[in-house]
Amino acid sequence: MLPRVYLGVEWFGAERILSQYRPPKECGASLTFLGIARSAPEDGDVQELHYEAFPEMAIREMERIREETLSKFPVKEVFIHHRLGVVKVGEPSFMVVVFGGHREETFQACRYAVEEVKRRVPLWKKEVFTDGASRWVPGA
Amino acid sequence: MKLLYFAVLREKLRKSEEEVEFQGTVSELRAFLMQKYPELESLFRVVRFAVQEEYVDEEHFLKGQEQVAVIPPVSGG
Repeated sequence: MLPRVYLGVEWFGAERILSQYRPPKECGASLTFLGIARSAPEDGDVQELHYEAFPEMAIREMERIREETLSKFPVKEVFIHHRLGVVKVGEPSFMVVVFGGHREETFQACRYAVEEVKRRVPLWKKEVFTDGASRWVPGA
Repeated sequence: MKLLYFAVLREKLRKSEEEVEFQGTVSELRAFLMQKYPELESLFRVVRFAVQEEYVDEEHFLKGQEQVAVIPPVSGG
């Protein structure tokens, strides 16, 4: 069984959710958001990101966000996964997958879940550069 | 009470937790920490606090026995 909410060093991947999860027949839309470890020119030469959490609270906050998303929008299922530990540039670190009846509520629900995770889940990332230096990314 | 520190705060303080004698509101705890660690005043100004894995607001009263998580601005995603 695929976890609806997951926080840890494993990565299930959108492909597995999309191939294994059987949406209810009234679902006409599915949307996947992936957050990918990036190295933007203004950030310097980032090699990897290190993610840290207050895990007990982070998982509860992710569960609350999933429940809020399901109650605020008429969508049928929401997956929220986030990695911890080392994530190389180019690899995904964060995923929200939403299944809904129509595209409108599915877009809205996905956006809501993504924004709320970024705004309030106690997670932090540190950029590690190719020369070994590192810095915590200023948060919101 | 026991304070828990994370990420940038844990590194700057060089500890992940500490015991402090404190009773009062969250707002007063913030002021207490800004005074205790003046070099980190700007960081303590923007942290959020959580008790029992839930954010608490500035007026929330802390009795002194709690475990309080001090949460620097988050940067997940």
